[in-house]
Amino acid sequence: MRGGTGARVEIRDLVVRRGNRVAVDHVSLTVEPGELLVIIGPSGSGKSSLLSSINRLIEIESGFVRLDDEDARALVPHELRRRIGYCFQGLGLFPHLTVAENVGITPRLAGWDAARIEARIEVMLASVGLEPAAYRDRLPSELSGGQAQRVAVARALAAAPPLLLLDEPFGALDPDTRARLQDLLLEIQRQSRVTTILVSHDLSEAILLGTRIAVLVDGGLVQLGTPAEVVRAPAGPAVQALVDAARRRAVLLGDGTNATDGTKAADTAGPAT
Amino acid sequence: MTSDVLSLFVAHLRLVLIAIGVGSVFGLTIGIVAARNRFVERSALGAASLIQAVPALALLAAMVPLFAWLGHVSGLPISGIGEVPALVALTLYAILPIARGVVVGIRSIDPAVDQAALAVGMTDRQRFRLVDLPLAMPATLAGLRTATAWTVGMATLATPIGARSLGNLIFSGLQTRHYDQVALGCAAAAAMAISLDALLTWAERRARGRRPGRVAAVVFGAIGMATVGAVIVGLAPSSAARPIRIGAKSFTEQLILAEVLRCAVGNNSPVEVRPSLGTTVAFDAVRSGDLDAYVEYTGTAWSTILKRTTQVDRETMRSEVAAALQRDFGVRVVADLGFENAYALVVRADNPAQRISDLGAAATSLFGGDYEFFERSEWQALRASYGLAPRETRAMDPSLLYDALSTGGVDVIAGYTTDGRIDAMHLHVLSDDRGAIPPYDAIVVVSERLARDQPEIAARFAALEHSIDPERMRRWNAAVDSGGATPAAVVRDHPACR
Repeated sequence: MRGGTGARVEIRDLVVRRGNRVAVDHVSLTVEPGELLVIIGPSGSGKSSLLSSINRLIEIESGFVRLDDEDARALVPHELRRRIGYCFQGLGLFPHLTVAENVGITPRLAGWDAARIEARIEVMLASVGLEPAAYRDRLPSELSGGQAQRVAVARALAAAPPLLLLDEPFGALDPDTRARLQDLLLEIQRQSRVTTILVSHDLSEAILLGTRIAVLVDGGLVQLGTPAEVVRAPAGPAVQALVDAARRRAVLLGDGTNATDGTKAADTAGPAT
Repeated sequence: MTSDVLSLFVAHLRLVLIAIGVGSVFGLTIGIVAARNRFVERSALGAASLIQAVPALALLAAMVPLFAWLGHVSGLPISGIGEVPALVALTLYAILPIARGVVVGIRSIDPAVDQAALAVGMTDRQRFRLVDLPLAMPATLAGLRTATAWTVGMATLATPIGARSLGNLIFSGLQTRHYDQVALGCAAAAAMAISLDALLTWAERRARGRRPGRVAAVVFGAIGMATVGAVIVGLAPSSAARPIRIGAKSFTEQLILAEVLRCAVGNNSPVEVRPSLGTTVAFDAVRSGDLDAYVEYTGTAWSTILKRTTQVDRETMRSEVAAALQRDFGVRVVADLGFENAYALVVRADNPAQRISDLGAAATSLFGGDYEFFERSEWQALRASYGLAPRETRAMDPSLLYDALSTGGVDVIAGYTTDGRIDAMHLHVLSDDRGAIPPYDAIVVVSERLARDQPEIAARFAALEHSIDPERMRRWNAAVDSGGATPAAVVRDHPACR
């Protein structure tokens, strides 16, 4: 699968308000093309608000988001969103559309011709590990949780977007399915080089998947670095708490894989480009 | 009989289809707008709920004066009775469940699905068309199903406002104690309701799977075509010979007399009987030309229609009624049938009173009367002349009055002097020794339109003059009420029917 090159995402001085609360408080960061940035933080830290302000599901209060030097607000929202894959824990597969129609929806909205959409659906289903002939005509109600998640990922990537936003996409899955989908995501992401921003509350997932990790606490960015940097030198007590929690869980497994796990993920991810 | 049932079934289905078709157009539109606009939701659905809170029969009945008034202020030939007012009431009733189905359907969509619709790049309009509307269809079809069931049931109540439906069988069957006819009407309406419900249940289930929008389009498309078809079927006969429309009020004698009028018309013109009408509904219809003829009673015309309260003798009332009806309303009195059907106070045989003034203690007991009686001036006159002060008055269906008296449910009833059940149930009539009750000579009234356009038929009605004496009328009534005969059968010994 070729998604073209990933976009460069530049976020500057971003403020997002949810009701009376400031959810994102003057955050600045840049995500390089092809990078997989994981945003972590405790519940209510503003990570989902930050993510959904990028495709303007939430409007920003001040600051700006640029995709390849183009201000996100220069586009009408639906045009912007057709260029950004988005996948969230609730999935939101359209229950009245088949798997194929769900996957093909953004290309259809973007006005692709039917043959091209069909071909794309085949490629996408195969790439998320679903045999097209067996799955394309099913309704979402006829899928398992993991299969539905794969369809949601395929839908998000169907129009070959330069940017993919994932909001705790694997949160509702059992650990085994979750691990397989994490592997699948890494594979797809490396092949397509789509710039990916993933929100998670789980540092282990962040270490496993991320080329870099951004830690958000109370709407503010407290640390931005590679997994190794975050694990070795947590910036402040809040980040330390996240690291401790992940380490305790790993120790409970009893074979000390915490260190290797963290190092391996950081190493294989390589330096941030 | 069979063909009659079939034609009533078709008329009933027509009412249902048109009401559902037009109701769908309004219901879908209101629902769609209301789902996107809280103000419209509150006001339009609020108004529809208010309409729904009105009992079905009351809503239908309210159409009669409303349409009469519309006809009056607009000067257009709008009729207060018949199919159109019935359809308006049925349609009003059908709107709410459909509109509420749309709103509930849209509101109950998983928020994640709506979020995803935006995230994949739909515009608001695309989200509405591709996601919200299709996903609202199962609930909408459920609303349509409710509306259809209600409408089939409610259409049986269209009979008293002059629309033909399966209610004709039920109302006249109840009146004449032909319970087989009642059962037939109910069974036919139930069969219609069950079949339509099965069809829509199937569609609703289909709409929960793939392509709910397409399923709904097929359903509403079919309804639309059926509605257009039903309207066309309704228009077609009007280009053929318009049937002579004969009215009947809601008691046995009236149904029998309608058959006599039918005989008088003869076989050259089709005849339609509109049964179970109230006095004002029937008279307004003759006045506007919706009905061509029915049998009225001079005392009723005097008090209810002309609003007179003075007591006059029989001949004065007869000529004064004829003159005033023609002068004030254009309605012609063409024949005096030759008998009187007056209100009379009736008691059980064990009551020693012979005259109303003998009632004594019974004057304060339980009184029963038909729906109109206790509102009529005769009742005021009776109370004033005899000092009647009943403990309680009970208005009930005329067919139940005599049973209520003979079983002791009430002690005195306002019955009708020609009623066959007075003899059959061993009851007796108290004489009106102070002359409080005016005379009630049966007269044939015809519309101005009939008198002008079809004078030969008006002349045949006029030929009924003095052709029914009181004994014959009482015998006919008894034969239908207690003997199980049909109105059409008992009148065969009348000269006009031979």
